[in-house]
Amino acid sequence: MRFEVRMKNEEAILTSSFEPRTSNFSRKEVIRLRRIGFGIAAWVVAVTAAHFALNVNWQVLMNDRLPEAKRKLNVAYIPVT
Amino acid sequence: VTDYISAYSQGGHLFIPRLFQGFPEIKEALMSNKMQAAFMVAPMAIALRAQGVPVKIVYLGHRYGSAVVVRKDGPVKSFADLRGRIVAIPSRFSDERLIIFRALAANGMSARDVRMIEMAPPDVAGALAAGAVDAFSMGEPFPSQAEMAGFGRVLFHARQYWPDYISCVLVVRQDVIDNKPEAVQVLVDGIARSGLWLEEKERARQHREHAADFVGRYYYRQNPKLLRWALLKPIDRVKYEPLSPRRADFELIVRLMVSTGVLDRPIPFEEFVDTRFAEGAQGMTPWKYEAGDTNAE
Repeated sequence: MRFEVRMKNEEAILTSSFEPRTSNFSRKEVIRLRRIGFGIAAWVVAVTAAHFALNVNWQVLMNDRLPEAKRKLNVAYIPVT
Repeated sequence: VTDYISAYSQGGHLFIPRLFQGFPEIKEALMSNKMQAAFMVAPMAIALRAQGVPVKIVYLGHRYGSAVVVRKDGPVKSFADLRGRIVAIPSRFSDERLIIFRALAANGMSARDVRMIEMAPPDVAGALAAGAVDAFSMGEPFPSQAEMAGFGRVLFHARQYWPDYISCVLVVRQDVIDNKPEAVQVLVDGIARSGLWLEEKERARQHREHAADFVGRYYYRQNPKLLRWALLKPIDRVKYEPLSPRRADFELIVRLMVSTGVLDRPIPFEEFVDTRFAEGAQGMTPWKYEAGDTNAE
């Protein structure tokens, strides 16, 4: 009885080690998953690009990297006369 | 205006403008050297200097441009009607507060006759419309905002009680004045040229219309129509010349600050104003720039 159980376990181990992982998905499913993956990646890139374009003040960042002598003055103001 | 036009000049941007929503934040940014210069109300600059913060006033932002506004259909018809009512001001350290004291004195009233509360400038028009305050004393474009929306009426403009009224001044850190005086001079020269451009005789109206458009869209994030109202109804509602800091103007502010309890002692003009940059800008000419130009000189 014990032997049988061990054999079954060994079989199971062998099966799981050598079977390719994608075998659980059909070709159609793989294409769909890839599309979703590309979509997510494109969305992340688009949002990141929009963030850098809209929320990051590049003028300030570049200015802060200049040597002290060449740096322009940062001047604060509020929208009231 | 200076930043926008200078971008078209050969030298490019003269400085980096940074938008804030309140004076306390500007004060902190100046003290921590995040900002090397700032536009702020004159009494706040004087109070900072009196507290030992190493900054100096080097130029003015404009003259006039503040008003006391009441509800159009409300019970306040004259200044005396403000007795016992609530008036919003931008800060204890503001000329908009001092103008109320001057009006009180001129009308034989005392500080106990009105209740002044501090409120962020963008909130005052809404507060007046909602009846949370009876009046507000504020710089443009908020008086214009209340007028344009139809619920506000200017009770008086600052010039009525305070000839040559000043509010907004350019403040620069002392270490910048000491180490980079040429950068400060470039900034002051640019502001002087912008002031002259906005006041240029035959073209003042066109220049102000154009300024309202680009300042509203790119700097203040406000409706250009609102700024057009503030700059043109009437055209001398806000003046951009002369912008040199004058001793008499500031000594009056210091006296008013002491008498109204926001300054412990009078401080000498030289201690908080550096006039050399204004003197250096005296020969300046208006920008040569018209709407649509690709070059400015």
